[in-house]
Amino acid sequence: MNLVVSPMVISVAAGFTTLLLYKLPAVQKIASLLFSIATAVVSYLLISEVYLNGTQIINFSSWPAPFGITYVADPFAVIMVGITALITLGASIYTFGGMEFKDDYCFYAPFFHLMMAGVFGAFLTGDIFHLYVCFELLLLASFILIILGREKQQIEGGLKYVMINLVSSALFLSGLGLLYGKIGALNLAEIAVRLQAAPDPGLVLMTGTLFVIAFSIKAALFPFNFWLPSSYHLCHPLVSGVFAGLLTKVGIYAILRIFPIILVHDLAYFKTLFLVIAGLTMITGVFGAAVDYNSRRILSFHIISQLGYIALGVAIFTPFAITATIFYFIHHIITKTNLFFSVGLLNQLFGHDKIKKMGGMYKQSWLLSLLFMISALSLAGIPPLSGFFGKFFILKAAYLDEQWLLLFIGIGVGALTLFSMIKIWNEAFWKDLPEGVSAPTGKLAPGPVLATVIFAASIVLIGVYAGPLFDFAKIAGEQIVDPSTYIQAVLGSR
Amino acid sequence: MELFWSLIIGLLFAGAVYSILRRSLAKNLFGFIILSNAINLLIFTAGGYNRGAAPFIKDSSIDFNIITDPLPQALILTAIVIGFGVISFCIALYSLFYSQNRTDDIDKLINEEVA
Repeated sequence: MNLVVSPMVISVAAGFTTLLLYKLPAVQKIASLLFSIATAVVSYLLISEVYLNGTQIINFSSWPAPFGITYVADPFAVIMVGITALITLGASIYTFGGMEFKDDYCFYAPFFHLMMAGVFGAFLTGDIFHLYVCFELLLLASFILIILGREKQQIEGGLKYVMINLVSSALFLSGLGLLYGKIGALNLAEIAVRLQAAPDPGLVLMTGTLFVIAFSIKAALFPFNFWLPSSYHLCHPLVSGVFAGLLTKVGIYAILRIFPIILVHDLAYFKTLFLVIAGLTMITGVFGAAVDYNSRRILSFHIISQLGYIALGVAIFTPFAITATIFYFIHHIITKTNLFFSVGLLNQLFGHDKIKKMGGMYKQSWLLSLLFMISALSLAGIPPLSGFFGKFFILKAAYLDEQWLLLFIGIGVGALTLFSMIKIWNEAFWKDLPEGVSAPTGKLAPGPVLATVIFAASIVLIGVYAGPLFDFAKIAGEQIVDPSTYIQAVLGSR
Repeated sequence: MELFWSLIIGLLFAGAVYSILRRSLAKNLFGFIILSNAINLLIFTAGGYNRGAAPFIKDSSIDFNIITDPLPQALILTAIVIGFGVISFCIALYSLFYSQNRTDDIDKLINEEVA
């Protein structure tokens, strides 16, 4: 049985089913969880299929590639699908006690699943226009999720988010139109073949630049990172957790998927560009976090600084660096979502995100303290957690490529990350309750705690099993740097 | 013909950027509408639209080099539909913003305090 398209199909089905159930919150919640479990199961079947038998493809309507839309499950794509499925599952567990499905929030589950359909589609598609369609699907669903609740601040944050993303989609679409006009193909493998046969540096520079800007906006890389800390911390904690984990990473995924294919002859220019972007992204993100005292905005700034490490791996672009980048993806998505979830629990107890008006959580709940500490230390890169290996591999790639300045920046940013994690720890957990603030009386909700425990366990396990994971990421990384396996799988031997 | 449409597309892009940068939300919205139309025209022009025959192949004697590529039209149709959905959402969002704040001036956006 061909499972390539199933994660996306199940997500679309989940979206429409939960939409029909919007008047029955309890049923909707359980249906959402069941669909997430189904997604997780098919995703792991797909991973094992790809692990055992290599890249799987499906041609829709049996139009042979490159004429129809092709879905390609290569190792990199299934790694991303697997993590996304894990996040989907965790987010669905979080709703039990973490979110009431009433008022606006009865529309949370439908649009959450439709957004996931877009994310799965973006990871699996082998067609550049279909990638655009999937981007729009996930963006439109995320527009709705970010303003759920319709509070004044959310609308303002949503306004910024919507505007900047519309500009980004517009640039992506224009690049796409120009690329099609010149090459006459939309299938990524076919584009690669045609560009190898007849290189066109002018076209590559033009569409490449349009794509760099479009995807940098989506991925919140340096000059375009301002929108992220002014919108992500205003929505529901669950929504911001999922956004933080997945959405920016889809932008970087698109860069990694498209660039090796269209930049067959012109990597040097983009390498310098990305090295500069990576350094500045790391620095701006971490300094933004250092001065802030809103827990979720601190974490939003850290999304940016961590994306700098990923951009560094992308810039160096050796098989080892790309493998390190893919490993960083695995670590970063889970750790970041978990940090947002545990801070979301704090938000649920205190009713706000201002860490100066919190305190005494260490006395009150050892479990929450432990869960936060694991993810915070992992983000900062303390062994033996997943973040240590993620940072170590990226910095080793920088060392092997002799990028001394960026190596130095990477280490410094790691230290500053630890600083702002300790800041949250000190304010919310370690110090006594400030005067005039009463201790929160509510109990920890079961769903969020269970989701956070699952993610924290995954962080520890990724740290323990870093070797086997790195080996699988290595297969994926080598196929990204040298796309001939991908092309062979899609177009066959001809 | 290509040159004429290229100039039109350039003008539309310029107008769209100007409108998007205006402070008023309504003009900002018009900017996005113009921008999406400019991009549709760009795909149409870049795809090559004026080669000769319609893309219906009745017999094999027809010269494949003179028929028009039908795919850009399909891409534009998809882009129009997506643009329509996005713009409708924007209208709803902007009117929500207006009903809460009684202003359509982007400069009146409050920057939440760093607390």
